Amino acid sequence: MHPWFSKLLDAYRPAAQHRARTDGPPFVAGPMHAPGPPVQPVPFFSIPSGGSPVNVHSPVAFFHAPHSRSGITRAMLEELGIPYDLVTLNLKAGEQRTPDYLAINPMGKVPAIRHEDVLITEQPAILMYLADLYPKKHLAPSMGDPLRGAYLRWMVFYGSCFEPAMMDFSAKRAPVPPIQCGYGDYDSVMQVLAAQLKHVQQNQGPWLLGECFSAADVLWGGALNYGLMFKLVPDWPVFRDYARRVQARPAVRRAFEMDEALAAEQARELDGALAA
Amino acid sequence: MNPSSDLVLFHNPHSRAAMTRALLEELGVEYALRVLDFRKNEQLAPEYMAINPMGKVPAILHKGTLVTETVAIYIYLADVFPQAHLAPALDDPQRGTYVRWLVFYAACFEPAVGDRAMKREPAPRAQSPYADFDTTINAITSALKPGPWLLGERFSAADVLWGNALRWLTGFGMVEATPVVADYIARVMARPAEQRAIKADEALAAEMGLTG
Repeated sequence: MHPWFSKLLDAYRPAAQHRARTDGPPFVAGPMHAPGPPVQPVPFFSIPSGGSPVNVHSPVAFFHAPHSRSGITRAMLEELGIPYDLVTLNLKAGEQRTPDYLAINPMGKVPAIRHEDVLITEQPAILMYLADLYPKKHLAPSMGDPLRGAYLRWMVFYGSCFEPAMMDFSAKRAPVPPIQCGYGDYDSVMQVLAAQLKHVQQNQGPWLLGECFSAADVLWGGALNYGLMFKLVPDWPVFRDYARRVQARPAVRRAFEMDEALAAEQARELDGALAA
Repeated sequence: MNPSSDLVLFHNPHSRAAMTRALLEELGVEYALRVLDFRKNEQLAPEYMAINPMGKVPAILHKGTLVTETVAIYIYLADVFPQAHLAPALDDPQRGTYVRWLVFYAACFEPAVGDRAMKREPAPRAQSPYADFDTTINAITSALKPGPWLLGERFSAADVLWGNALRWLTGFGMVEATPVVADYIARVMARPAEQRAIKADEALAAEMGLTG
């Protein structure tokens, strides 16, 4: 059995041993190949039936790889302070392209989460789902809040405009004519984002929506941090200062540090496997 | 149309905004239109750039709340008018699947279709969040297969979006009308609200002199 898949099965056992908690007893690693009931991952196109509400106390299974976009989802889970079962993929070993994982996300990408029987992919979708499911954590403007529209707009703008524009820039591709595409060109996307950040900072507060920190900041703080690191966004003070502010939050910091440790562990494992 | 409406759609009948009009018809709510004439570049005029600095339609203004980005507008409107039953509630087990396929449209499908339309090489797989056209069309086709709707027996705003998007893209020959795709489009388009939206936009386009 592929080692990653046995880890996945481990994570799905009721008393999961990979649950990351911010409190409670210290983490004790369980046996990696302990026998358990066979659990099939839910194929990505299975449809949950509606009805009784989601049990917010059931842990989220989180498909994750360090040094990838899914660090943002880890920061979100830490901000929420909810239990989650970590299922780690080693991207350097190509674990995101195994048939088992493609059944979860056919795009072969992390992050993905499974909550009860529901699989969710696409980072903004995961963040919006979680923020709305835990309203007491105040990470999304509630329905009826005038900021709800702006919140949704910036969550979607990340996937529909910012990421494609960064890809064009990264691959040095000419932009698609504005009439055909939803995102215009790289320069306008960056300027629109910078203008929003400047506007709120001068008039309303330090975060994307002004005074209230939200899941949009988890997303954009992480995205700009990543973009600056790989020189995919302009090195403007407004981006630097904002990314630094988000990264300074204890939960974001915690997610980052745990990922550094996880990346080092994966590198050792991969070296070990290659040497064997 | 009532210009003092609580809900205004910034619109052009020959644009993605038609998908938002279809949703408004499905919701059965009253709305006013502000039509932008692309031949006069009205979408780039300072007045409109203050509404959407990307210079794109659609945008909506609802009781002082401004929303841009088609998928954000969809999530917002379907939640704000729960009596139409087009969105699973925030704690409904189907909510995650619903949001997933809405975001997938904006974050993966549109950019991948853009690459294909421009005959560009897809961005490197390891870096790109949307891979390539074949991967995205296969993913959505598999999600549509069990049917009749993306959420099984339950029709939702996600079907309004995908039904209209696929109709538009198969019409342009950008997406192949495989049996799964063609049947799904036909199911969505058979709905009276969809027919109403199409006819209203055809009439508007004729009035603007965009046809013929």
